[in-house]
Amino acid sequence: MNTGGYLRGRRSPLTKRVSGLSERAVITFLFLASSAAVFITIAIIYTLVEGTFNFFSFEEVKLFNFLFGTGWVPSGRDPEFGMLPLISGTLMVAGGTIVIAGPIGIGAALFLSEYAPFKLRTFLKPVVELLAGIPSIVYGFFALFTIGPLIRDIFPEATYFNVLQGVIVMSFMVLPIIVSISDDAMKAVPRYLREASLALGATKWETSFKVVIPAASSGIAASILLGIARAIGETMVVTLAVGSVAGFHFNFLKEAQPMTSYIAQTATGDIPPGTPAAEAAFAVALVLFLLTFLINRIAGRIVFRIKKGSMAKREPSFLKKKALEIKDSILKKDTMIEEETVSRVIRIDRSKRSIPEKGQDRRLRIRHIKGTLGASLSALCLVIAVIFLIYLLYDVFKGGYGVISWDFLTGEPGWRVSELSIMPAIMGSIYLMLLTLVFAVPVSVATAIYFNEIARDTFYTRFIKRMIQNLAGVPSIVIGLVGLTIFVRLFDLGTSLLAGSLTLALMMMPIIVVSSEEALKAVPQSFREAARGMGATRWQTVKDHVLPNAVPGMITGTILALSRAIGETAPILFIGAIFAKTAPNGVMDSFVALPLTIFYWSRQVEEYKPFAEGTILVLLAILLTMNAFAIIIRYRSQKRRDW
Amino acid sequence: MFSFSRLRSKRDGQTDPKGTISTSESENDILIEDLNIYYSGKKAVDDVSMRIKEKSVTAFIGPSGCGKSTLLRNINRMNEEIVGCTFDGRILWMGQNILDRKVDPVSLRRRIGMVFQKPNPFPKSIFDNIAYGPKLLGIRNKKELAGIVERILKDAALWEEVKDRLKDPAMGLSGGQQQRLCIARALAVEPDVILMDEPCSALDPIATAKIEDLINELKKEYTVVIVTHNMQQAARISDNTGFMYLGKMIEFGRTQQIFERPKEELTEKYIRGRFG
Repeated sequence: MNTGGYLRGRRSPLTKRVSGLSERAVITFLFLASSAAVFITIAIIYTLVEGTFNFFSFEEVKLFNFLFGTGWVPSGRDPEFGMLPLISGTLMVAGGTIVIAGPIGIGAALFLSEYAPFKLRTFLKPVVELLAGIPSIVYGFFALFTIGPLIRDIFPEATYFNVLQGVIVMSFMVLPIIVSISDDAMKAVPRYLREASLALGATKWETSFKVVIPAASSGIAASILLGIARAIGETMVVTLAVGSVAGFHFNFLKEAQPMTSYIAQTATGDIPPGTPAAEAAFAVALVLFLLTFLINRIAGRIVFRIKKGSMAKREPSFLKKKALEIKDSILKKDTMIEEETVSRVIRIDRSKRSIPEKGQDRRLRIRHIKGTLGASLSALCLVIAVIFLIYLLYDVFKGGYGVISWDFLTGEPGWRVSELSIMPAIMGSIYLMLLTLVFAVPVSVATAIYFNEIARDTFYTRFIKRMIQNLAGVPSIVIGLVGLTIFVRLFDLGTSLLAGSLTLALMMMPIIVVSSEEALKAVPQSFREAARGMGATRWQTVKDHVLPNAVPGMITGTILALSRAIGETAPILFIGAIFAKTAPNGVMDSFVALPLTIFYWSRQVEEYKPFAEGTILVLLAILLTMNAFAIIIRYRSQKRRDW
Repeated sequence: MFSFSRLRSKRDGQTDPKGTISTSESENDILIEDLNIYYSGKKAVDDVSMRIKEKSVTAFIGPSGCGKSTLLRNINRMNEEIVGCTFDGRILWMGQNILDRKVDPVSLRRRIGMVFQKPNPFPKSIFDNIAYGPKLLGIRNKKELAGIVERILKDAALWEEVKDRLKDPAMGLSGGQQQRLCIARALAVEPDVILMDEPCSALDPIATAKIEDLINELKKEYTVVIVTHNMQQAARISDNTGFMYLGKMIEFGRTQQIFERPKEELTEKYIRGRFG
């Protein structure tokens, strides 16, 4: 009789490490990949500090003037580098954006969270998020060519470039951020608070306005802050629509130059490198970086608290608790339990009424009218957003579909308007995307695996995680400068496809890390425990049980990130070419891309406008296809999964 | 403190020797007739009819999921806030069917207040929690509000404990204090009926005793309906008790009778703790 099992000969002594060399190699690789964030951060800081240092080493540049001067005339015989005009430009754009987007966003979020029935909500939320998926270059185009003429009709004194048109369009750009984070915050307000208010005889509007909004206020504040950070860091809308002449004023109908617009100008204008005017971009970028970093940090902390759920029942903060304790000790009162024995029930006398019955009926009618008005107003906010989206799409389609032809899509372009073709740009964008995929995905996925599956919660991991969060908030034009300094100049890659895709990879990495981590987190903990319980090593568990279940989520997240990459203009503004007759032949070739093409054509004479619109259509079509793929993959994997 | 025995003898005087509920009827009684409540079509409360007497404590007992909270929440139409919850039947009060579409739930809930299972103060100050309701009803004068807050907190036996910290956040109070604050908050809109959905389930015995004292005092002026999973509590504080099982009101009668001489076998099983 054979009493031994078939595995008998394979038993290893308990002291032997099962995780062999390959296991340790894999984990080392994951660890190294996770450090990529550190290198990116160092690259950013190096770029900005080195450039700023160069800038201040010119003798005509003075720190005091830079910070407090009111004139920004970077080139010419008598250059002036006073930053205040750039700051005022940025302030106008960000401030104006928030004045419009704040109320509309909060109203729309309130409607989604409190009033919209489930089905309407599941339909409307993606529609609002679609606004976030449209490339910023398209918004800039829309601001300049559609909103601009409208504004000049209403205010004849408005100039061709003006702050207002940028602000209006930017408002809808940041709207999805405000709506989705405010909506999360309102949804996180526990149901029992709403019930408490309703049970007291409050109307739905009163409950929403006096209980839900105050309870969600910190989340709403965070959404506003993130909206401000986005508006400050946005480049293409302001470059196209707000202008490139700095002036220290607060007139919304005049041209202004926000910080990002100046940085972009050094990429596109006729500012020769090595001059103070060119190096000034780095100093401005450093200020911009610090500003957005600060705002994102504050907002990030608040959002983190909401996600952890500590907003649900807001305990007084530590300091407040301490203050209460001190107050109590001064009043010579001890703990709460002992206090409870103090009071006695005394006779309740209901004859002493305080609330007059007279007039309550009329008051109630007014309260109901107010409620209906409030609800309609919040619904209107959402309607405005949807109308804007539809109008934008319609407008681009109407202008662009006429120029789409086989020649336009595939022909070899010439310099004349009649010979325009976007074949090199399409190919450039596709190559760019594929290379970005190759550079960004392995590192990002490895980072996500390392943090979610391998690493324990240590100071180092928390540090890196925070770093990745911070990277996600770096303005895209700053990434553009980093690409220019590190890849084009330091690594001597030149303005090549390789340098462009590496730069875009920098931009995409934090996004793919976050979406991959979400996909990993969605795999139930019990799968890991089951595998580890059978003696699988950490990497075996990840490879055989976690990854296969997380892959659909990762693919979805990656496609969405790439669809953002293909629409980005600012990061490759310094690297991409203006014109190419053919598609790039190798990674060291120069390249054009769709968003760059739209950008250059928008700045040409009016005849180019329909071609720019046609290019927008092609870009949007590619984006839509990619998004549809992502949705199909997500849908199919959800349908197939049995957990 | 109130003498439990005195209360009981007083109540006994109101009932006839057979142990059935007094027949004296008032328009202020809550009369539930043929009430059915459904969650997405599934029946949660099945054909309940009963009379809840004014200025008394009525308790609903029964195992978890028997529909007692659902029934309670229909009396001030809080169920309307739950998606997919529907009901038919009638609840008559003050000469009206309060389930009628014409009755505004906003004004109904002002007259029929509610206290929930988990203490749910607003994340505001103690003062603002109490003042919330009166403010809705149009009282803006600071002095007047301060007067109401003081009187109501005294009614809820909380004044001595919080009078020096009215501006402090309500979340800083202990669980029992929070729940009494919630009761006070409900009293501040001057309702006639107070519904309580397991108000002591999250509290320690000392805090529970204080709330029970308060309920005893409240019933002199208010109609109190309480859902509890604690049979001893029902026996201690209620005048009438209804036992529910699987959505049906199995037995409803004077508390003493329910606990000492239940008529239904199911009730007896439940009372004696011999239950599935």
